[in-house]
Amino acid sequence: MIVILFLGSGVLARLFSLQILDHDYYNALAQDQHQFLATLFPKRGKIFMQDLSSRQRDGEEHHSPLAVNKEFQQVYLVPKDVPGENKEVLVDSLVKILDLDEQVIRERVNKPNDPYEPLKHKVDKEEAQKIEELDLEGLGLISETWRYYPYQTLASHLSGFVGIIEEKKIGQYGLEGYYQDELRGQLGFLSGEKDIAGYWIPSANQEIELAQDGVNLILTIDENIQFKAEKELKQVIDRWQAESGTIIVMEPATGAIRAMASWPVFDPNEYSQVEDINFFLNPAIQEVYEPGSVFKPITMAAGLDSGRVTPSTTYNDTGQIRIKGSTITNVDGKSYNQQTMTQVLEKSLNTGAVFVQRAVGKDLFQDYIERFNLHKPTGIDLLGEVKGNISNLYTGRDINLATISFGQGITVTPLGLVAAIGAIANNGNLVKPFVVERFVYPDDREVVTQSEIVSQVISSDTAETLTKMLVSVVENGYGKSAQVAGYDVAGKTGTAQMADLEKGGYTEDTIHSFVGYAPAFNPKFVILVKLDKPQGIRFASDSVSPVFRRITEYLLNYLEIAPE
Amino acid sequence: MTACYIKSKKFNKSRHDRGLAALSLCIVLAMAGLSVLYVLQTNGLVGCNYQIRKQEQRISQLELESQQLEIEIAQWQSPVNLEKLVNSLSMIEAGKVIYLGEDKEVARR
Repeated sequence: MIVILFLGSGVLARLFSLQILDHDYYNALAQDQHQFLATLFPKRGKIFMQDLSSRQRDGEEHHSPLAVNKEFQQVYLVPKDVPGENKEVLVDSLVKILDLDEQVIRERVNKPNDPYEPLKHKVDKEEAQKIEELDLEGLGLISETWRYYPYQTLASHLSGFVGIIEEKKIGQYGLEGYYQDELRGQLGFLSGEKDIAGYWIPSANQEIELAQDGVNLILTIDENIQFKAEKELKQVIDRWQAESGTIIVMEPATGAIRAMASWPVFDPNEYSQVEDINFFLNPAIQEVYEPGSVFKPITMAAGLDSGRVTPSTTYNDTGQIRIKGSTITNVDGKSYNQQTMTQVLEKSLNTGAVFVQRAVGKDLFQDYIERFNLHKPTGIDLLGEVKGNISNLYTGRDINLATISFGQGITVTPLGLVAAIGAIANNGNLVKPFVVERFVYPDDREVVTQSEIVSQVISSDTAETLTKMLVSVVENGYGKSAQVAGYDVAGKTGTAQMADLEKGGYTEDTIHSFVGYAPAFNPKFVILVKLDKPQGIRFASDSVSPVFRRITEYLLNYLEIAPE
Repeated sequence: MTACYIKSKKFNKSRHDRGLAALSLCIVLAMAGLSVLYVLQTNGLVGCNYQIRKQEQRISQLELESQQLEIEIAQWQSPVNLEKLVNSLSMIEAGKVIYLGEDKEVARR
């Protein structure tokens, strides 16, 4: 009995020691064997362009993917598991299949006791299959998800790309950067038990917080209009050996951007191959330039709206104006004697623009220029937008005011200019441009972007009067190359000198622009075509006006807009 | 009389003992049965879990294939690809579009 009691006490004591005193230790050991904690990664939201013609014809939405998530294979090595006799075979095979440097592979294979060496990311199907067929020890494939842009360079400045910063995938530039928080979603976690094979047992004792996938973006961009704009831009750049260019198409009534094309472009799938990071900048919103004569409609808007001039007001053009040692001449060096305000725009007379500016007066001229918000970002939902510079407006110097009247001595962004001319097209209402039409949440809830009128910059009567003048520019003036049979088109050319940032003054290089809208009295789109440093061509009326016409014709057909 | 009393007491005691034994047996059988049921249920649950996991893996695989196909379709439908097809078929861009009015000018011509 005593022995039994003694043994029993011993057992109890041991049980007490194991279950009470060492409870925490064995509990932790058991958890380590059976418990697991996993982070649940959300899917990044996708970005889609739309097809307006499909919507118009069938009433059905058709969305094309601009940015999606795609599974790729990554090839990796486990150097410590590679048998010595297989190393040469492995190296030779990998060099042939993956097209990698032999020295790099050799270095990685020969790393002693190394459990993991990545070799190549984003391996395509054929390469992955060949790797699998090798069936060599120490060589493996693993799936990984990368951001993928199926249309490659199309709308690359708009999309931006997803890069790796401190081992995290972060959107950079364009929409990927601007909407990084919305697109990335939210992490979740799973805490539960695993079986002997390491698999999760979906039963009791689990805690789960599901990952929230990112928001999908439906853009205002139409893939076909974007394609057309990029194609026309590339052709005109090649034609005139220009350095770069931009085309923007915007709906003036809403601010919806239908196309925003710039060249040179880059492939966001291969962003790491781009040597000059300036290629990532979107010139439409991140570069400024002196607009030249395309600014004259804004000067004229000030003159008309303030009542200081009318379309038939005349002045005497002597071909030049002297202001304290500086001489302003017309672009062709000629004088035209008695000219109306409409003719000032038709013939793009610098002296006429100065006349209007002087008629309006310094303070009122400043006020009107400010109304068009060219000195502020438009607020478009793209990363990195800059603003124009109108500081010369406040120097008080007559020469500055005079040159500003014909678009030199101030800088604007291409989008800022489009928005300003869009205000003329939109009954004097300046709207805020935007690129995302709808946000689609993972629970299928949708949030539609509402168009926003920033301010009324000129009266609707002034806008209509000015539109008639701009139609006359296309019918009778330097904009004739932009005419479209059967439609009223309003527009203005501009051949601007480029500032010499090193020496001051201006260089021989020019920037050619054409900005206009159609149908003029019920405009559905406003277009800017801008060409930087074209060679062998003097005036914008010959270089970019035909491009404007072709895009306008395309849009009128594409959107099935009947002649007036 | 005393003999009868003792006999009935013994009889009652044995009946009582038999009852207790039967009850004990029932309890043991019930516990055993419940244990078996528990084991069966747990096994069944684990078996279902493996089935669920297998199906989930299959679903993931199909979703992946579907996603790859969608991307492929998008690339085929892209304007760049369509233009190549159009060129290969020697098709040309539409020229001037004539909008038919009420008086149907084109028909008359």
